[in-house]
Amino acid sequence: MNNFLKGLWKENPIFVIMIGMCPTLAVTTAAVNGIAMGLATTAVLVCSNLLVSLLRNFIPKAVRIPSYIVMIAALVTVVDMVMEAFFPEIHRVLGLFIALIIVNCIIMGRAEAFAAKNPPLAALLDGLGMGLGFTWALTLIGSVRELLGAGSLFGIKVLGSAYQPVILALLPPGAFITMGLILATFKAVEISRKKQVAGGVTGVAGPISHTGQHSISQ
Amino acid sequence: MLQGLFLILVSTVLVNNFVLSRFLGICPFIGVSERIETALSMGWATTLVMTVSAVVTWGLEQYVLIPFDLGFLQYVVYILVIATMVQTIETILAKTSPALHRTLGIFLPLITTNCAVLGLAILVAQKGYNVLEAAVFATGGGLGFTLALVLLAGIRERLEWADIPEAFKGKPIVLITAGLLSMAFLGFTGLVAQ
Amino acid sequence: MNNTLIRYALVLTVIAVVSGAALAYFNGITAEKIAENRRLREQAAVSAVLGTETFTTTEIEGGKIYSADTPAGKVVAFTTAPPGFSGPISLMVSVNVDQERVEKIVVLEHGETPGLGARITEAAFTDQFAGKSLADPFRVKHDIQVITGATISTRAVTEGVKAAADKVVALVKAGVVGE
Repeated sequence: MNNFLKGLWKENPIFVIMIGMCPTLAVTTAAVNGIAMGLATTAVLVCSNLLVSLLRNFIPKAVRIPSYIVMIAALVTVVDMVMEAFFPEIHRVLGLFIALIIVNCIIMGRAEAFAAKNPPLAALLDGLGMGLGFTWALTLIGSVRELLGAGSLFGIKVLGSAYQPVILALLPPGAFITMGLILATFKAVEISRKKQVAGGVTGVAGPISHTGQHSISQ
Repeated sequence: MLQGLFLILVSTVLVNNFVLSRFLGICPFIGVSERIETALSMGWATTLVMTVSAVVTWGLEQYVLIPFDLGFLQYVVYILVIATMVQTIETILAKTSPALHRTLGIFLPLITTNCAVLGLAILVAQKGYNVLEAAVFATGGGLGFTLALVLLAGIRERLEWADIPEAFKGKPIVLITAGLLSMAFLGFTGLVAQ
Repeated sequence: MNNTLIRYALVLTVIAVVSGAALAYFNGITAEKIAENRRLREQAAVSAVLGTETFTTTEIEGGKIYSADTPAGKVVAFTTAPPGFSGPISLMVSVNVDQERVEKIVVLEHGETPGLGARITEAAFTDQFAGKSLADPFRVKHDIQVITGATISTRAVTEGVKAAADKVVALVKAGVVGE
């Protein structure tokens, strides 16, 4: 169970490990894009984790990287074709970034760090958890940007016409700044929690406490 | 002709900067921008890989994928080319220029998964560039990436001495700084309508 | 040593072949649907500006002209993509050739700034072109209301529509579009 849950919060790929940032910033101009991108990535991640785990005794260590790359690229191509055939509108919005799931470090990272060493069921759950963790993070960022920039959520107007939209939130700078502010908010919550329990139990595990894991490997 | 190439260059370096307005290559942008020196090395290495792989994938697209109607293999072929190019460049550097290999060496493997490289190769195919335009587009993309990386590194070196609120320390302030940089680059939009 | 190398090569070949085969299979089942989607999208965009489902398509250099006969005269639709503020603005335009006036314009794709240039997609802007005579000057701030903060986008659409419409009307009158 923990294999599934850790991706949602404690080891959330976006807010904690900070990998897979490109699609995170690029497609999150609306909440619905965040969900779509997240689910597409989850589909690839679950399949690739499962495949890597099933083949972990067949693929020799020395050639594992090229093997994984080919498998992941093939999976992404399939997702790309299926989306273009059945969800053409969403496919047009996400565009190039569907192809870029191939180089999303979450996929390769989980294959290397988890799926290659664990049995299929665990790998599947890990992929599902990480994928959904990625999805909710993207949806949150998308919601904040859509709310600020267009006054709507999932395409439905929430803020009245008196609200003057902050267009900046939809432009490229808005992506960086929104992401920075969300991270700072999590950190602020973490800090105040730590102050409350100071002297008692050690800090409650929240999203930011693991940033040490972040490395330059993307 | 020359003018067209120049416009592509200006457009990719400044107006449609790969990092700051297309969001390609964010991971190294955040991860390898602590020192100007390393940022510069990473930038050069990426520019090199980008240019070489853009030209090679262009050739494969025109002479193999399109004639044989193998468009569905595009992603697989491109990523393999990039991985192979990175490996080849690393081997050549190690043999011919150990000094350069020491500076760029550790960055090279990371470039395989830099989405700017794959993204650029796919964009070249989508835009229908010829080989010269592809090469200029790739070099511009790489230079733009280097510029963004070095600018952010320069600011981050100074940020170390700044008194930042506790909650903003680390990644949050880096992202906000990147946002301000991106805002500055917004000033270039409309410069070249491409 | 040799055995290991052969094993490596074998594993990689198997993976590559299986992946390639899987892709060819999926390509086979999705290609038709994707082509159908594209055709439907084109059809929908053309119908929207022509106001009719039935039209004939003529291939011309650099694009297509869709034409239909209506009670008000011969109407043709075409796409054009003038350079906007940040990238080309792709437009679908219909023109009544007999009356020499624009019927309707629809923005298909654009990269203009949200909230500013992106407002070229709003009806308040595009409706200005509906029924506009090609003899009009098509000058921004003169006979076309400018979108606040987006003069370049406004001008790009206005001049793009006018230039393409004049060209297409001339082509049609020269008899390029056969019945």
